[in-house]
Amino acid sequence: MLQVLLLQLLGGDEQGALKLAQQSLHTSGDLKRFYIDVVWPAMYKIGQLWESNLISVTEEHQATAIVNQIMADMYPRFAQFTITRGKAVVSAGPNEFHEIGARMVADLLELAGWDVIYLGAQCTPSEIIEMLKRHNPFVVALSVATVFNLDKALEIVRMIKGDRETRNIKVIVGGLAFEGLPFLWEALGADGYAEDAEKATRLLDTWWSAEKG
Amino acid sequence: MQNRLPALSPGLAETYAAATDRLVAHVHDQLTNNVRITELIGHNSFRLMRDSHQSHAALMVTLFRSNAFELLMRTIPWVYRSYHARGFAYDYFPVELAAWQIAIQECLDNQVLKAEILTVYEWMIQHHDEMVKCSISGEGLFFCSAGVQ
Repeated sequence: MLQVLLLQLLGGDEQGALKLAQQSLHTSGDLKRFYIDVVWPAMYKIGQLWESNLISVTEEHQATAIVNQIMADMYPRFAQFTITRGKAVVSAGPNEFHEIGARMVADLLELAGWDVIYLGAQCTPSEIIEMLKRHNPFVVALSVATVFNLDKALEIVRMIKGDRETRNIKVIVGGLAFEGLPFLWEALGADGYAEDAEKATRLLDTWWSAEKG
Repeated sequence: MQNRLPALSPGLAETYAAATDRLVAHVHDQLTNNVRITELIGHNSFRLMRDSHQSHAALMVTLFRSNAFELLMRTIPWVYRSYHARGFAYDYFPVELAAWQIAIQECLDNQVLKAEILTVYEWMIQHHDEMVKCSISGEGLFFCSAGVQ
């Protein structure tokens, strides 16, 4: 399925990709596996192809748009809004315009019973802080794809941990920028790191159980 | 395994961060006046080159704030690979790094901080050939036993 989707993304075949997802996904478990085992590696490969200049930035953006379309089409079919856990604010890191990773985390957390507030991409640190103060979530999840945006991620983690109103909010980070650098979350001052959306869900559940029983 | 920079003086990261606009402008001025620059950047735009300076500054700020040396070892081959794929010559990078050294010499006042920062740039220039090899082989994390002494 991965190879099929990858070819569809590279060929700009939105209808084919949508059909593939619609015919293959029947449960929320299918959706989760699709995100982790198909979409994530497909977009990783797209990124590698862009890096090697084998595809253009417009082709990369087209693939991203198709994936966004699939997620927008498929997620509501399995969404459930029974809240069993706390509030979670999910955002791409400041300055970061790659948001598929954050969106996957938001979707999977919501499926797991979290009350998710999804901010998307390109929020400024002060805007994110304002949202945290307004909603006082249990956790904020920040996804950083581009290594050059880590400085802004570091800045916002410092702001969260340095403000009396937000310092107790747990911070989890993830995204491609951390690949090969799994220790970096500590240097950033975050409370935890997850390699993918599934592991992020698991870690947040652990934190929630530890604090709320 | 040496995977941390030598202890950096307090304030180094913030000093560098505060100077980034001046440093970027200085580096850009030097490079636009380099007679080989069009060839070195593969006839790409000066805007793309300037964006690369901004990205470089952001990377260095993160490096100095986090003291995470692996960040360099992972990112520089990636930078080499992606810019070279778009026409930048490998020879561009040591020229650019040397321009950063000059900019740091001229824009920063604190001699101690300046020396520490220049040590990191010297390390990058010294390991240029290895960075090229890693960018070609597709590696990111490489020669982890190396380190800034």
